[in-house]
Amino acid sequence: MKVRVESKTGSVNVVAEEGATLLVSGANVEMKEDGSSIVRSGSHSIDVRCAPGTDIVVGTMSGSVRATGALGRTHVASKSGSIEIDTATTVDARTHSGSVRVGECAGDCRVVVTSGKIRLGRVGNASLNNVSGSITVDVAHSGEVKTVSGTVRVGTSATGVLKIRSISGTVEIAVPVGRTPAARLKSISGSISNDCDQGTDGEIDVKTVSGTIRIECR
Amino acid sequence: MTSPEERGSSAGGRAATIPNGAIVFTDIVGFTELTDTHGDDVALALLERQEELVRDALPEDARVVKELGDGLLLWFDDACDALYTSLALQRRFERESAEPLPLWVRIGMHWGSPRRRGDDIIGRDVNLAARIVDLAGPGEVLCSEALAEEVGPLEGVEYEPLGPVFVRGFAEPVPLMRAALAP
Repeated sequence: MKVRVESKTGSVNVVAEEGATLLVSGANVEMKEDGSSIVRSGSHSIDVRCAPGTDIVVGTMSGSVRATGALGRTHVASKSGSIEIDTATTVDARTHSGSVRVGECAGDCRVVVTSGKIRLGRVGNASLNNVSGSITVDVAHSGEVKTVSGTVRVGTSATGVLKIRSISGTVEIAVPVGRTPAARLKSISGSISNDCDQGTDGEIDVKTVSGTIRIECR
Repeated sequence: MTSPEERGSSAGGRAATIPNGAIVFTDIVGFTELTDTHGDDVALALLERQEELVRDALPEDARVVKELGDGLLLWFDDACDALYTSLALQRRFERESAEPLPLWVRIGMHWGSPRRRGDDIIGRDVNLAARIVDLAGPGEVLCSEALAEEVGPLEGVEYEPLGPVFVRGFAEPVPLMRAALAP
């Protein structure tokens, strides 16, 4: 099942739960021949209930987006609204000034934010970009992070390649005790510290211009 | 195909309609912050590097319409050229970023028929392309569905629909695609 939601200023609340068929309140629903559904509203809040694994595409101007339950491929774009996604197989989330929170994403988790915060729980492959907001990831198996001045805190499973680029933001990476990643750390004027022994448990590749780099085993 | 300056007239202040083409915006990510933290000279060097790489990559049917504060407005007669060039540019930006600062550029593009005003192009389609680039991350190429449809399936290029996206100044959401070179 695929559901597309368009809401200009109203908030969007999506709940995926066992046994649910598509149920929408606050908006009109248009059923398409390919089995997908389009939900549209202007300023009213929209509530959508759907089956687990549903692919959702949500676009808002300023309305916030909240998605709970286990969703499939999830795309959310908002000019200024905040985005919260509990669980999805893949995520593409974009907001100019809102914040983004993703609980769990087994596959690719791509987030593009200008000035808001990015907060992720456990993700497979993270692709995270912002200019000035902070980026926090509990655990990423692999990923690429780019930020100009935001602080980056990432936990890694030290199984894949983690690449982080920052201009002036501090970069802190937590590695599980006992793992020994191959670390390539470079900062032109910032300090570098690395608690972990060099090894072959994944790769950590960090470059900053003036930001501090800290790798800790914990 | 011809470029905008070869078509119609740009008489006085009256803008002439020109045939469809690809409107492409490039934008250096975090340019304001870079200028603040590293100074004007470093920022200027980044701008010049961006423009050098872009001019070097442009095919014959394309041109730099104008320099913006931290990016460029480009015009392509051909949508395929625009997409291939933009994707190739992102590879060059990544590969040829000069130390100490990386050259992070985002690209947004749209297929439309703007008005010509002197050497400039203006109108709704230009405004839309400018809004699209706002949603791209560093290294990304985002395009309108209109441009993707004009290009059609292209060997070595993958599209990912991002869905309907509301952008400032437009009442209706715009279907956007993320274009990337196939791995």
